[in-house]
Amino acid sequence: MADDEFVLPKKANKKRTQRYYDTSKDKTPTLDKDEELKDGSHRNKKHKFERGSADPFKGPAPVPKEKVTKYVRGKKIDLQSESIPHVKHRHSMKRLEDKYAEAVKSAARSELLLTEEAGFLEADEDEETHQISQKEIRQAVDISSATKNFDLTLNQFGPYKLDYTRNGRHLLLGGRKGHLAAMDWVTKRPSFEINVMETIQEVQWLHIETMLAVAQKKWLYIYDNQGTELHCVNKFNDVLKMQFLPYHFLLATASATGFLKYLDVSIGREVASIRTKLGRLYCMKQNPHNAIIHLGHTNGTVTLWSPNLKGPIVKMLCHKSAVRSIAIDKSGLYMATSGQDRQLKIFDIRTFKPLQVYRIASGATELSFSQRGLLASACGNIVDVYKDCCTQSQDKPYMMHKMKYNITDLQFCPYEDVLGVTHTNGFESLLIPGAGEANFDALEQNPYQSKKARREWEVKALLEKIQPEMITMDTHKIAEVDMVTMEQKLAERKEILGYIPAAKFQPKHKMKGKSSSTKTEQRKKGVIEENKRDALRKESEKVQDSQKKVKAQEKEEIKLGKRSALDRFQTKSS
Amino acid sequence: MAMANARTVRLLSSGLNDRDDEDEILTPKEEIVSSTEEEEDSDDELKQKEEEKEFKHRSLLNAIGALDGRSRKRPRSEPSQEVSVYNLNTSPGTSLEEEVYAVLHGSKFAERSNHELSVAEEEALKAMSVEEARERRKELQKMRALQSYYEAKCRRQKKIKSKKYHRIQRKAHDRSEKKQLEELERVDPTAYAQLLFISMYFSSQERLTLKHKNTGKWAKGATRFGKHNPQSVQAINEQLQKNKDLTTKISATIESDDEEEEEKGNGGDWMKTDKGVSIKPSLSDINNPWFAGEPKIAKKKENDTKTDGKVYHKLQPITLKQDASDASSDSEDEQDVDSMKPVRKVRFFDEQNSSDDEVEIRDAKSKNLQPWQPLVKRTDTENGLKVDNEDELDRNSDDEEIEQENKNTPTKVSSSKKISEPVADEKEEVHVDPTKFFEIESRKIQSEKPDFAILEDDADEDEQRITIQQAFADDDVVSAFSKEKLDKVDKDKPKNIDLSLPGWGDWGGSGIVPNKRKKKKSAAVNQLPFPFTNAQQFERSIRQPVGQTWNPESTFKKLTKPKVSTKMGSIIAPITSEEAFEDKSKTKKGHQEITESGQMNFTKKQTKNQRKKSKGRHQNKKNHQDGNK
Repeated sequence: MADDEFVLPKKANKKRTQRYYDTSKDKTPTLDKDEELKDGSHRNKKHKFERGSADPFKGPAPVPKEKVTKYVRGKKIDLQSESIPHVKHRHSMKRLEDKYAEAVKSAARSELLLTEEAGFLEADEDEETHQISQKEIRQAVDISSATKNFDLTLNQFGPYKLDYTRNGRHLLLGGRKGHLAAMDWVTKRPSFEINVMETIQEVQWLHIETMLAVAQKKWLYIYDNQGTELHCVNKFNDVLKMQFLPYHFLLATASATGFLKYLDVSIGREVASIRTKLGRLYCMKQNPHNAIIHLGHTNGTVTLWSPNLKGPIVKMLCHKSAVRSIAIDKSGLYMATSGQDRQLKIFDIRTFKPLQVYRIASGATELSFSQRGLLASACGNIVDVYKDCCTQSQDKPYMMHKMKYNITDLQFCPYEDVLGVTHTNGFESLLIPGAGEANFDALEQNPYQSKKARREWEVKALLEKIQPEMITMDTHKIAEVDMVTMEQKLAERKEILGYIPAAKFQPKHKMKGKSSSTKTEQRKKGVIEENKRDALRKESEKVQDSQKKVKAQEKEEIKLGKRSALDRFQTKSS
Repeated sequence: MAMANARTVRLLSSGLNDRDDEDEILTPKEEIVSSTEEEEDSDDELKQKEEEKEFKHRSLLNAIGALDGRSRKRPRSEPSQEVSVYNLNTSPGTSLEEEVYAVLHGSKFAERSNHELSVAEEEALKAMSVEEARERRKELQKMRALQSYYEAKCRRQKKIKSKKYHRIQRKAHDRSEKKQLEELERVDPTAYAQLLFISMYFSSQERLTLKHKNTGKWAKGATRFGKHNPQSVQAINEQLQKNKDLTTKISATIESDDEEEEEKGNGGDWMKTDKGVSIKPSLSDINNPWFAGEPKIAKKKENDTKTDGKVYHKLQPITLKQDASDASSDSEDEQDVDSMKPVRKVRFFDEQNSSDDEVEIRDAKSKNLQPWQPLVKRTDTENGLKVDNEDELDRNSDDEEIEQENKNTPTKVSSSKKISEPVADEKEEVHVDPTKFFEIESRKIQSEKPDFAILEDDADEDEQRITIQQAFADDDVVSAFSKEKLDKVDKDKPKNIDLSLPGWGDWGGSGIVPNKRKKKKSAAVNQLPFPFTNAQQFERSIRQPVGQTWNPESTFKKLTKPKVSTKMGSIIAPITSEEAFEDKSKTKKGHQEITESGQMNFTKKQTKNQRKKSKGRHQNKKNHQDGNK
C-alpha cells in the first residue's frame, strides 16, 4: 500500500475550488500536519464550524496503516509489466486494483463499528487467575452477565452431551438415557423437551436452531425445534460423533463401525462414505478453517479426512497411547490433542509438528477451543482453561473449576464469555472472561436474530453453499490456476492447431448500434483471424530465420573452411 | 597443398586401389613408357637422347604434378627464384613463417636444392614399376567390367515379372545357402554359430517390428479385398510363414553330450538346435526362464574372444587394408561386445500390441559408462526404446514421516498421480521424524487433581507412568507407525517389475494410463480468461473476496456494481443525425465518461436534459425551416 493512502491527502493544502458560499479565503482553517500524524486522526482537534465555511476535513477519514495491513490480501497485479500488452486492459486492471484498495481501506475503517472490547481476567499481585472462583466472578460482574453462570440439575437421564448453535444463542442437551432438550439459554426459555426412548450418543445443531441431529442407539435422527422427528437417516448407523460443516451444509458422522460419512443436509443425500478401517471412531473434530475432519484413534494417531479421498490426507502419530480428544482453533493453525498418556499436545497443522507438550493430571477427556483461542480441557471433574497455550508454554491454567461430577462434554459458547459443561448430573454454564468474540457480524451470525432475519439468512446461506469437492487442506488452492491441466491443454491445442491460440476475445460493448450481434460477431471473427495470421506468420518467420541462419553458417563454413595459413598458395583452379 | 600431397602419397605407398586416384597417377606414366619404346628408332642419337631426356623429365614432372595437384612445367635449367626467397636461413618469426619453415625443412615434400625431386616424389616413383602398374590397371578394368556385367544381369532379372521365375530363383538361392551353411558348419562351427546368432537377431527384430505380420499397407488391403484372389492369399500366407519362421523360438534342449562339445572347443553352454547344431543363446534368452539352467557363460567367454576376431574379419564386407592399430582397436571392440561387464538393459516396446517381447542387448557403447555413473531413466519415443535402471529408483526411498497424499489437491485421485509421477514434489512434503518427535520435553501444568485420580503426589506419578508404559509395552505405536509409513512409501514407489514371467501377477501390465474421462474434475480454473496473459495476473485479480461476508455493505455494492444499468421506464430518445455526426473528439470524451463510471445511468435529470436538447433542436429546425421560407 502506498503511504499517501493513509495519511491525509496533500490536497488539503492545495487550493480548493471556491464555492459560491465561500465567504473568504482566510477563514478556511489550515491543518497542522504534524499533529494529525501523531495521533493518526485529526478529528479530535476542535474547530469552529461556521455556516457556509468549507469542510476542513474533506474526504473520508484516514485509517491507520496497521489496521489496513490486516485486511490486505496478497500482492497487487504488476501493472508495469510488459505482460499486459494492451493499454486498455492495463487500465481496467488498474481500476480493479483501485477498487480493491478502496475495499481494504473501507474494511479497516469499519473496524470503528466494533465497539465491544475483549479483555481477560486480571488477578491481584498475590493472586493467580486460576484461583478466582466462579462465585467471585459472578459477584463482580453485572447482573445480566451473572445470570449466564447457572447450572441445571438433571440427575435422571445423564450423562449429558451439549451443543451450542453457531450464534451461541441456543443450547441443545442430550442425556445418555434419551433425554433431549433445547433451549434459548440466555432467556432460559426451553423450546422443547422430549425423551427419545433410546440411547443418545451425540447431539448436534444443524445450520439453524430449528433443526438438530441426534445420534441415537442405532440410527441418526433429525428433529425440529418442537421435538418433532423430521427424518430417520437409516443409512447412518451407530454414530458416535458428529460435526456440522456450516458452509458446506454437511453433517460429518463417525461411527462405531469405523465409517466416516457425510450427509448433505440441504438435499438430504449421502455425499461420501469412507471406510476408515481404523476401528471405533470415538473422537472427531472439524477444522473450522478448511472443513477437514480430524479423527483420533487408539493407536495414538490422528487422521485428517476430506470427503473427496478414500484414504486419510494425513496420518500423524500424536501420542504413544490412545488419543482421547482433539480440538482445533478457529484459525485452523493449531490442533490440541490429549492422550491416554496424560499429555496435552499442541500441534501446528501447517507443519504437523508439536509446538507444546503439557503434562496434565490425567488424560483430558474433552478439549475445546474458544473463539479467542482459550483452550478448555476436562480431566475427570476438573475444568482447566488455558490461555496462550499454543504459542507460549504455560505452567498454570488461566482458569480452573472443580465440579462434583465427572465431565462428559464441554464447549465454549460462541460470542459469549461462557463455557458450557455437561456432566453425569446435568449442565453447568461457567463464566470465562475473554473467551468469546466480543463483536459479531450480524450478516454472518447474529445472536439477536429475529425469525425473519433467520429465514433471510438461511436462504442466503443456501445460495452460498460450497460444494463438498471444494474441501481442501490448502484453502487458497481454489483461487489458483490449475497450471498442470492448463499447460496440458495448451500443448494439446498446439498439437492440433499448430499454434497456441490467443486468449478468447470478447468485443467491447460499443454504443450507437455498433454492438449488434452481427457486428460483434464480425469483430470477433476479425480479431480471431488476425491473431491466427499473426501466430502463423510469426511461426513461419521463426522457421525461415532459423533456416537462413543455418544457410549463412554453411556458407560461411564453406567460404572459410578449415583454413590453413598456406591456403593462399593454393591454385584457384583446384 | 601440403595436406593434399600428403594424402595422395600415403595412399600410393599403401598400394590402395582407389580407382580415381589410380587413373590420374597412371596416365602420365604411360606416356613415359611409350616414350621409352620409341627411343631406339631415332637416328640422331645424341640430339634425340637430349630431347628424350627433356621429354622424360617433363612427363615425370607431369606425373608428379598430378600427384600433388599442380603443374610443374618448369624448365630444368631455371633456378627456383621463389623458393630461394624462403631458403634464407633466418629464424621464423610469425606463425605463418613457422608453418612455411616447417614445410620447407621438415617434410619430405620439400624441394631440395641439389636434387630435382623431393624425397617423397622419389619414393613415389620407386613405389611401383610401370609393368606392375599396368598389370594392376588391367586387373582392375576386368573387375570393373565384371561388376558392371553382374549389375546389368541383376537389373534384368529384377525386371522379370514372372513370379514363378522368382520363386525358383529364390528357392535355388535358399538351397545353395543351406548348402553353404552346412559346409560352414562342418568347416568352421564358430563362424556358423555366429551366423545363427545373427539370424536370431533378425528374428528378434521381426518380433519387434512384425514386418511380416500382415500389418503393412499392402497386407491390410490384401486381406481385405484379396480374399478371393488365390494369389494374394498365397502371398499373405507366405508372409505369415516367413514371420513364423523368423519368430519361432529355438527349442532349448540341453544336450547330454556336453563334454563332447567342450572337447571340440565350442563350450558347454551352447545350445543345440533340432539339427544338433550348437548355437549360442541370444542375449535375450539369458534372462528367459525357458533357457534357465545354462551355466558356464564365463567359461565360454574366453573361447569366444580367441576366435571371434577371425570370424568377424570374414564377415566384414570391406576388404581394405587396415592399419595395425585399427585392427587392434576393432578386436577390442569385439571383445567388449562379448564381455559381460557393463550390461545395459534395452527393452524394445512394440507399439502395436505392446507385447512383452524384449531383447536385451549388450550395448557396445556401454563400455564408456563408468560403474558409478547413474543411468538416466528415459523413454525414447521415437525408437520405442526404454532404458531401465534400478539404481535410480532406489534413490527415491527417502525416509519421511507423515504420509501425505495430495496435500494440496485432495480432489485429485491419488492413484493417478502415483502412476504419472512417482516421485512426489519434495518441496511440499512434510517430514516428521517420530523418534525425535517424542523427545520434546513436556511441561507440567499445576492444576488441581481430579477427585477420582489415582495419583496422589508427584513422586508417585513417574512410577505410575512407567507402569502405564509397561502396560502398553506390547503395542509399540512408534515402530508400528514407522512400519506402516514405510509400507505406504513402498507401495507408492514404482516397483521393479519382475521380468521372469512377463505379465505375471498383473492384469494389464505396467504403465497403464487411467481413463481421461473417468478422472475427477478439479474445481480449479484451468484456462486463463481474457485478457489475462499469465496465471499470476489472474490469481491476483481474484485474490480479494467480493462477497458481503468480507466487505462492508457500501464496498460490496461498489465491487459488484454491474457494468451497465438502466432505469426501468426511462425513455431513450432516438438517435439524431446531429448526434451521430458530431465532432469525433467530443463524442469520444462523452463516451469515456460513461465507460469510466462503468454505467450509463439514465437518470431523470439526464432524460430531462435530453428532452430539452431535442426540443431545442426541433425549435432550431423549425427556425431554420422558417428562415428558408
